[in-house]
Amino acid sequence: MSKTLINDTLDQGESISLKTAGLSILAIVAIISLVMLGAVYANRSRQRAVINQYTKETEELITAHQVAAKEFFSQTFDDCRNVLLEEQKAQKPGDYHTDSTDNCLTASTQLAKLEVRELRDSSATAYVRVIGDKYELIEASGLYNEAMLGKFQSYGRFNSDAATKADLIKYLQQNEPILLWQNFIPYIEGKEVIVPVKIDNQLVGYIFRGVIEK
Amino acid sequence: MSRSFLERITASLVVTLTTTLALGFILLIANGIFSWDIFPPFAEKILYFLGASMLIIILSAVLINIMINLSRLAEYAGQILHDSRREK
Repeated sequence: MSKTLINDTLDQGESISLKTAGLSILAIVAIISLVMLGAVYANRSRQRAVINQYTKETEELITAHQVAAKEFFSQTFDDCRNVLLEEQKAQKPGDYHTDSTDNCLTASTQLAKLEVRELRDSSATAYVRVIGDKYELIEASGLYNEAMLGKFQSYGRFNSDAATKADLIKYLQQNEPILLWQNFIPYIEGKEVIVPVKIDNQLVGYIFRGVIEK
Repeated sequence: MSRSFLERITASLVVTLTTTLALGFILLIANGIFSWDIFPPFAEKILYFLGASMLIIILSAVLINIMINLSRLAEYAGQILHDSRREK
């Protein structure tokens, strides 16, 4: 009886022919390829949807506050740069040299006028002005009505990896088409959507909107 | 519930869930390498939770299956021993 039992157990395993094995592998490859194609499609659709949504929201805000936006990308950036220059002048030799200041109060006031709080994830937003090959950046964080919370950082603080930086510079300098939703600014969690700000058909700057979605 | 029925259920569960999880892992790796954004963060959290739950179910099913088969093996071994004694 024991021999029969063992033989029965062994016979239960069906032998797989080479053809079946090959077909199985092909089926697995086909399924994985289909899943990957689906994923690529889903990724593209979501990217398009996110970029469109964030761009539309930002453009609506800028349209509603055109004067404040124009002031922000011209006068406010100039004011902040002056604050930084004064701070740098006041520095003593041997002091830690910094290219940023947290004391640009006009940025807070102007952002409050722009009502950027209406934007989703507004605390994960950065404002960029390009002058020649220099990048001025106002980092928005916290509540914009309170003084001391508007931060100003100047001249190309895009410390992300070289590929992203090169991509971004291509876009900002030569207006080359790039994927507008990437991780450009390291201190903002996740990726940011770049929205060019045009007032009277004139490009005045860019808004980098972090897509937090929490 | 018979042991063979339980064995069949756990084996089917392991095969189905492992296949699903394997596909999920492939997607996760592709998602990391190509920096995809297929799901928003809240959906990702739900998917991670589902993946972890699947893993726990797979491990439990494997354990149950091993235990059932161990008891079967013990039975077979007992039977073989019994038969060999009889033949002598």
